[in-house]
Amino acid sequence: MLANGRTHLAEELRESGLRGRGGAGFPVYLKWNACRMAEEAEKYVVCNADEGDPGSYIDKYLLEWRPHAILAGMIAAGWIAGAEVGLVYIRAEYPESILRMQNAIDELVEAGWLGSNIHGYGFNFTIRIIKGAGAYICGEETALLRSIEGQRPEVSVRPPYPTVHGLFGKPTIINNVETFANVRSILVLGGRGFKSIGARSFSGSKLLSLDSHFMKPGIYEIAIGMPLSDLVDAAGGFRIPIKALQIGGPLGCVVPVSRIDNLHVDYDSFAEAGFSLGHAGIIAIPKDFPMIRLLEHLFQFLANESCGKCFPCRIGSVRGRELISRAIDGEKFKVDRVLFDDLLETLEETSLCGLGGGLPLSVRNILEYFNVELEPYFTS
Amino acid sequence: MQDDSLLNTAFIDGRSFMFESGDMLLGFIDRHRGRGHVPTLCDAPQLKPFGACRICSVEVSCIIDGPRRVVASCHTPITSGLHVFTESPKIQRLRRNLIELVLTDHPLDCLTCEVNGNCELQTVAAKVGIRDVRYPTGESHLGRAKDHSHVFMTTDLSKCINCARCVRACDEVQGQFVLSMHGRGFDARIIKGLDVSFADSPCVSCGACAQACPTSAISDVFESKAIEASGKTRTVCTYCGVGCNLIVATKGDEVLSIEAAEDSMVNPAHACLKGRYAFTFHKHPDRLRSPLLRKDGQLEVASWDEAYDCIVKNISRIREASGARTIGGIASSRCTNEENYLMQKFMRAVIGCNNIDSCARLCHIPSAFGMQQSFGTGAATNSFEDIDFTDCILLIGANPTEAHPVTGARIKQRAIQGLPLIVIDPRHIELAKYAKYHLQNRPGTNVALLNLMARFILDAGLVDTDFISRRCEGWAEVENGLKMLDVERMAEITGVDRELVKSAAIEYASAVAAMCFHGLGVTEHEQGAKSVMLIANLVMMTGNIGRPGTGMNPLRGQNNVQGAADMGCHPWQGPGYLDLQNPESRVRLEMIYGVELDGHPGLGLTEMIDAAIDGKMKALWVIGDDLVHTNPNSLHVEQAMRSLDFLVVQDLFMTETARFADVVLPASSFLEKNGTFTNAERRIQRVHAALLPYADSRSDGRILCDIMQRFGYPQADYAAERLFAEIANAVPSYAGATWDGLGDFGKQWPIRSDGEGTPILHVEKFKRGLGKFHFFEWVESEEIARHSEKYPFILTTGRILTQYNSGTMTRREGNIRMVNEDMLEIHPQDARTEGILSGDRVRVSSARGEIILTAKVTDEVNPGILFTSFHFPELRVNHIIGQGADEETKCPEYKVVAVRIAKMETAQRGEFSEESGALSSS
Repeated sequence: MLANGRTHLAEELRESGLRGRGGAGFPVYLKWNACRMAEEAEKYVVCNADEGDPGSYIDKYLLEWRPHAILAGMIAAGWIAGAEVGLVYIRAEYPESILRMQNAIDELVEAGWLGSNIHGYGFNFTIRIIKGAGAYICGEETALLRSIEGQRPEVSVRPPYPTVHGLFGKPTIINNVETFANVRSILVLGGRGFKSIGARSFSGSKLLSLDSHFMKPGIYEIAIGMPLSDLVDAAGGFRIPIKALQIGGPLGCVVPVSRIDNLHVDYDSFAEAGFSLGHAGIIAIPKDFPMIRLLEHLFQFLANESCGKCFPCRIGSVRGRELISRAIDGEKFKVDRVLFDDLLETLEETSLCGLGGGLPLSVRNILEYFNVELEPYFTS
Repeated sequence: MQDDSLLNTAFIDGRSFMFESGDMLLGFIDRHRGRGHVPTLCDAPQLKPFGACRICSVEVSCIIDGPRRVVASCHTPITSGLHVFTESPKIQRLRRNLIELVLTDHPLDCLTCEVNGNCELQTVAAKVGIRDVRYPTGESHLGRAKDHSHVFMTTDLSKCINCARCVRACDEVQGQFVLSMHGRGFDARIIKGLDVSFADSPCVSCGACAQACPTSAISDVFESKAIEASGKTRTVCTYCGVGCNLIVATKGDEVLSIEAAEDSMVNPAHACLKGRYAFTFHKHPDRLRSPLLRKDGQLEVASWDEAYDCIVKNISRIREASGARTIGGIASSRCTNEENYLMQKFMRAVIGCNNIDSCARLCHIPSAFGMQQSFGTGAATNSFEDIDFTDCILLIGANPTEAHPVTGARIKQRAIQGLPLIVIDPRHIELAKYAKYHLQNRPGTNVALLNLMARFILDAGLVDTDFISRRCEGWAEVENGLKMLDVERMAEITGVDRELVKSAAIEYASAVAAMCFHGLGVTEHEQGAKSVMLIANLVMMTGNIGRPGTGMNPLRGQNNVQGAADMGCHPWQGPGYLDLQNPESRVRLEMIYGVELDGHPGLGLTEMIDAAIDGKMKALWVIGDDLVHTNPNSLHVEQAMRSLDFLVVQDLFMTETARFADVVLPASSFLEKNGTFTNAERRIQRVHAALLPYADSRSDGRILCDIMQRFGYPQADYAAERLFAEIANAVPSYAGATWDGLGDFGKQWPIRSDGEGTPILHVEKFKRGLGKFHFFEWVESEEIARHSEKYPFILTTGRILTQYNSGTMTRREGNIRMVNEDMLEIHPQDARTEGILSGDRVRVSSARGEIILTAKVTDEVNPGILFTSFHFPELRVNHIIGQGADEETKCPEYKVVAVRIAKMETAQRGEFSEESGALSSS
């Protein structure tokens, strides 16, 4: 990596077609190159390890069992962009991850892969761990940067994007744990080798975490594009009857079992079908679990985790939860469907970040596929 | 051309418009469709885009019929060819839905709300067409308690919509970081300090938050956003020399509130607690309501005719008996240009002598003099807006966050953003905390320090020899002098580490454009004018003049110090600084005034006081200046006042000086008069009367015109516009200025031939031709040399934020509830040695006398140095200040007093309080 030079590595990255694994699927080369081109002496590489989606433990797995891969990806980012400081922002609820990452960092320091003038290439790079401040919103990249700065973790407007105005106002590469880990695969396989895996528009592999309702729960690595049903088969099916899969956490989607057969584990396939893969943590929803409770939970989650900056998320989250709770509690009260759709549209279209903007898809999936079950709670 | 225009074109609802690079959608739409066409609740012109309310959402598309995307227009950059849809059905629906959500957590008590009719939420709700809130009643914050703890600021957070404008105003406008958002989600709320009351928070009451708040969530006790007022008048602040543009809201004969003008060049949407909130003095019961005449030893109410007759009779009598030169006039930097002009004209053309001076004698006369010697013009070379794009600021002997708050905040904003700031000040002032270098020199050593800086610049090879050879003269002498400098000894004298001085000097000299500001910490010294000329040396030797972001800029302490000097309230310089000893200048003025003028220089303010005691000054007319309180060595001034045959005092209130007067004339305040003030950046700005003169008071301008007529001089009745035309004729640097041409924003003199002002002086060449270098050696102040053995501490004085000068105005405001005495600042080490704790009463003695102050132990001063403010004349700080003065200009040495201190014991305290009571009632 070092011997071939920065440009070579950047080219490999471009050729790999690697897209971010955090949920948005943004082309990694574009992001890294923007930071590389930014003319500032001080730059940062930040690894977003604030995995907060309920039921997701993909990042936790990587942090604890593949820490060197993540660190290799960060070193590559520092090398390409000309940054000298890397920071891993790990949620405080992952103490074991913090410990194992720190051990891995120490090992790389020992091995001369972190520090000054790495292997004589005049490249200085250090990596530090920052313990997260305990809020889901800190996983949003701009809030995460504010949190590292010691400021209130509140979402900032973009542009300017972190690649030009990031941590402490300096150009910053910020990516998810899994994205950095994938860069190691590019270092091993080369850009073309990486590109040959996975789907055409979305290369490489993806980790998925399956919950305990699967016969064989755990982390699965699949080539992107694999049929979702194959994954379910590989996991041995379900322990109990289920009616839907919540994929990618609250900001992902809810796939009814009836649609499992038509889906491929691929961001584009999901998007075309009206779903979203998100970070691909998967929770199975038991058949006897009332969907109205899931709706209530989703809005409660949004209300709990909203940073409170943008109006639609701050107020809309609470009003959405109140509407659903009232419909559950009160015999006569039904949620005005027009009002509810207005609320969803407002959240989806006007929220400042992916929290308020991402939740409505799960809600819409539930409304669409479980309309009969939900009929008693809504006006027609 | 055409390509360019295509490149910079985008579409608003199908119509194409040009945009500017860096435009956000909202700014672009505002410019072409008017502010408010796209509503917003969190955006404000003075603040950075924030993106919280989302009300400004619009649809955008790359092609007219292409797929559309909803974006918040406030923080979305515009791109070429973009189609923006501001009122599509979807956008209208989204905005309505957003406002509906806001209204679920907002009291609907609009009719009784303070901002009814001027509430941005109300306006936007009306604009988006809300008729119904469909959500059932849920969780809310309507029960939040109001906070009325503060003298000026109020909160009612039940009205808060969490737009964070206040937080950003506190951060981005004032830089105080008092307000913040606490908690998250629905429970996020504004807190003050660490969630304390407004009164307990470190708020400086600038009011920027209240002005920025779109509702009544944050406001002030004057309910400044209420629309109750029937009149709004744009005028200029009466306090410091920044010259903030204010909007005065009135109803009947009362001022309801004052706001900062959002479009001002000087103070965009910003003011300080004095300009914004300290205005109720205008109707204080202590205001003088009618003329007073001394009859049988007592001042008694009289008519204007009686007062005028008495003045004409007595002044004529004295002039006949002992000559015109035994009569003196003191104009006021608090008054308008027109009034200052009239006063000097009255003295010169009517009385017939040059005994005219103003309170500038006590502050910035050394700046005017020194800069005239160096550059040819005694005024700031650049503008306040240069702060925004300079590369380095050198701040000497000024404490702008307290004394010039709006400019101070502007400097602070840059320093927070990383601009190298060099502070030279004996105190660890607020800006020193943000400075890259703080040279905390011992008071009275500016000359030594400035020479050291120049020497280090010379040694570092950073002298701009090209600039010097093209533009300056006298460098050789300075170069030689600097080379002879005993660096070690000078560094020791200043008490500042020489390496620190060196680094700061190199920082200043290396900047592409470095700007210098100075205050009274430079001028009010024995070597005051010399220090000014040495600053000019630094400026010239580094070529830091005549360009944007450079220059030398005295921070004027009073609203019209600059103007009073421009008008010729000076014993030998007439209007426009023309030396009246020069026959040519004198003849020019004689032509305008139609009378023969005295070519003999008159007496300055302090000389007039001395002359009164010597019996050579018989009559004095004092406008807007409490000589007894504000001059050093008060007993000496009192003796002078008693020695006068005839004293006229013209003021707003009964002052200590007025108690000695034979005639007291009630003058109008700035809120009651028309005219112009010239601020510290030479900006001539119009002052407009918001009210009629209080009671039977008259404007100083009218009084002077009246009296000139009574003396038989053909002066027309007072009219600001007419007087200003006369000034433009008499004062060369004001030539070309017209009342109408000044407009809302004023013009910086000199006025160019195209009618525009001059933001930067000395661009091509200096006013005096070549810039003149001067070399002076440091000399110990006589005060220290003579008295330091007996009086080992050095007391220095200055202004604080809440109060203003002798406090005639600010002590009649809420400000008095914030600070009600001058405190003695003392270093913890000295306090320990002397056994003094904060709050202890301390006897402070100098060679002149003694006073008693309350101690405040703080490391803002160095050991051996004491500081106090001078806003409470009854504490008589000026009583202990010496007779030392600037050698060139006689500006008193307020900044260096040799004193000793002793803690008062409890018994003594009682004993003294009687004594001090007796003193203050005298």
